[in-house]
Amino acid sequence: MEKAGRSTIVLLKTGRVEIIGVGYEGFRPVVSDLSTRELMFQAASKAYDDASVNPRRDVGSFICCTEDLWEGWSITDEMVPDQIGAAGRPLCTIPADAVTGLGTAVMHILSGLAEVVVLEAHSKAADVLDKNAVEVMAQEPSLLRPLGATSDTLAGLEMDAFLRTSGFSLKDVNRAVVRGKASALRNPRASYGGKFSEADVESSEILSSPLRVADKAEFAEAGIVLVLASEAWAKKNKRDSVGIDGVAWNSSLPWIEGGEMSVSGYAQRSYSDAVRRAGFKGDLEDFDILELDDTYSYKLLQHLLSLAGTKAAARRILSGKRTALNPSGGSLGVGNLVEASALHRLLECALQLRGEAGSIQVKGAKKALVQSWRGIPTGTGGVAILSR
Amino acid sequence: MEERIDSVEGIRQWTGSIPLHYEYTAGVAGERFLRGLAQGKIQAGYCANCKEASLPLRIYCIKCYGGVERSVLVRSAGKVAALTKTQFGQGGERLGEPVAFAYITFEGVTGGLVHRVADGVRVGSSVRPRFKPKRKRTGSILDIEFFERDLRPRTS
Repeated sequence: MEKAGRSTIVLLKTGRVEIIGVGYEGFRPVVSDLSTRELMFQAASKAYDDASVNPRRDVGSFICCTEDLWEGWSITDEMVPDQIGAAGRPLCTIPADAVTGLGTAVMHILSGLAEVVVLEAHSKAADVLDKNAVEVMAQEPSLLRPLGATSDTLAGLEMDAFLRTSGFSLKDVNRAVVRGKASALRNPRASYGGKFSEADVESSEILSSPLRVADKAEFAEAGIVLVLASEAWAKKNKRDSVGIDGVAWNSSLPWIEGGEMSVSGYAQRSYSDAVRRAGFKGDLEDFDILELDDTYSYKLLQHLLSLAGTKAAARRILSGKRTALNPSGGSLGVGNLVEASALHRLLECALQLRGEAGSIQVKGAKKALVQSWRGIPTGTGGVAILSR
Repeated sequence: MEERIDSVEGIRQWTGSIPLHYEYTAGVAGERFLRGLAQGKIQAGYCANCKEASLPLRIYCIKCYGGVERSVLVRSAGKVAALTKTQFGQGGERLGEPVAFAYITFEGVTGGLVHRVADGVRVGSSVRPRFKPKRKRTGSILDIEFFERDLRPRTS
């Protein structure tokens, strides 16, 4: 691992790490029939079947991306191993998004710690009765939290600044919502697809101006598991796979703490680092698929602009002629899966590159990029580059 | 064989809560800042190495990571960089009247403050803090009631 600026970069020196299996369960607003542990068990079982691995024998390390406050259970890592087949095995939980989890998995494999690693994340957001309280607890406690602002208040401020400085308009934001909802209609994993018009979005209720209800991804529940292996292991054991070419994550100064409001420094730096590690020489438009964080509608445009570098390049991607932007429907269409949101984006790209994305399949997709964000009030996110 | 749940009433669930309360240590910088507010002053940290004042006040510089020992009084009027009117409170309750919040920056200071603002404030407005009466201040960010338009004549 090397340090560059404030980024953490995973060096892929000894061959790629491969995704050899995927599994998921849920993807509904409420998974009312399964407990958290059962949801994880179902997803993990499917992933092990897909990868043809026995977790009790073949897996060297298990990683779960989870946050205690969303679990409603402190020291959650003690409650994770059994249901994913990790009892008595090396397991760690990471309170971070799954791109950081993926980077950790890659490091475990490339360091020789393990040849096969399991990466898990889930959302049981409907179990959390006080979602606002969890979000408010993320605010700095002495200068910010006492003011009475919500996550939506802070998003409203950021959106206001973004629309004033980026050159993107509310009309662009409206189109992003319409597009996400429409794409989600064809995705069986999406809970919030729909035929929306720009006027529908325009008339959506204000949460914190200019932010509206339609601009915010609604919560959903799912369990997701990826099984990863070294390239050598995948070849030796003849597993079909999707390669991870590069992964990086970064924490920039949140604007609330004095960072920039109109661009995402964490996205820019993660992207440049991941691209460099992947040895990728092209532009953002050379990816077949981009799955970018759209927890809030304006964040999709902000993330896109931050990665594309110029408004013209971002607009070309938005035109949809060459690169598929969030063909899954993104979080706006699929739902906000909290700590599993990034793993969902990785799952969608893995399915696309395997040619198994069904009705949302992007024809001939060979190269995909996932970008994650940890949410309000953070300036933390990551980028992963996948290919086949 | 697993029991199949086919009605909402049949779903079994357990309701629980996490009753947690905290007392956050203000710290060296935090105490200096909050004591300043109690005196009707906003203070920024000043990094002698970077020659830069910044908010919020910290004991370290986020750029050079050197120690910040000096604080400087923020004398300039604030400027509204972003504005929102929020309709819901922290518990998810609908507010009777929308509350306006702004991100306020100060000339010569990097960073800024989020705070409530008075009616009539716009993006770009010059604003100043309205402090509570001195006897009601407690050394809290809420010692500033809100920021309001600065109607004082500009001096050059």
